[in-house]
Amino acid sequence: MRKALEIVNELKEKGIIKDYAIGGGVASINYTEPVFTRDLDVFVIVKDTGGILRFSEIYDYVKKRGGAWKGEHLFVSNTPVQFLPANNGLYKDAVLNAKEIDYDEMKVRIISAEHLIAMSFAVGRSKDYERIDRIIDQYTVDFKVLKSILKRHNLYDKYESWKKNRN
Amino acid sequence: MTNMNRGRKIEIENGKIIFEKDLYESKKSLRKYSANLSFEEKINILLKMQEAVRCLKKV
Repeated sequence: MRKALEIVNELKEKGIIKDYAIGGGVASINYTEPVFTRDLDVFVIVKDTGGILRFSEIYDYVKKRGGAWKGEHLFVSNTPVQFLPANNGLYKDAVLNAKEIDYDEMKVRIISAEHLIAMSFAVGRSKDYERIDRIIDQYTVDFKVLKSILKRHNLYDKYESWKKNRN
Repeated sequence: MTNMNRGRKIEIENGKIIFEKDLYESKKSLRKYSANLSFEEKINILLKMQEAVRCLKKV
């Protein structure tokens, strides 16, 4: 995990990506108890070359640093790393508003709890709704911030119906 | 089959049987235990979980 996060930081330092933030299960662990997850989801804002998002530079760099493709995953040591585009909408908002936290003597950018909840509403699988419940139960979510994100990205209706079912 | 005190039986990946209530209790205690842990400490627990799953797959 350390090596994967180290490489992700290097991608930003070297200008291969504009910015990044860790999302998914690993990010949710910052706000809840540890929950099993296999992948490290990295949301990246990449250089836009004429409307085409290029990930090849990322993959080349990760491979140069010891990463290898196994099936559909790019592995760094034992960690499958998934790079996901965040060049617009909610995902870009989440990356730009990510928080910097300490991990093993380095800084890592993590998606905020409020953005993570909004992203879970956007995807909407049962495991995403479980994540929403877990974060709200265990973390002091700023509902003013959450509602504003949900309204900005047309997800407020999903929140309202989830709230109705939860009560 | 159900145990009156420990709930329904659940078969986990390596064929072992655990009871529903024991699983619930272990989840509850993990939540309590990890409440004051740092991100790094919680990631270390995740890494141990991943290692355990890898070992189970090898069996």
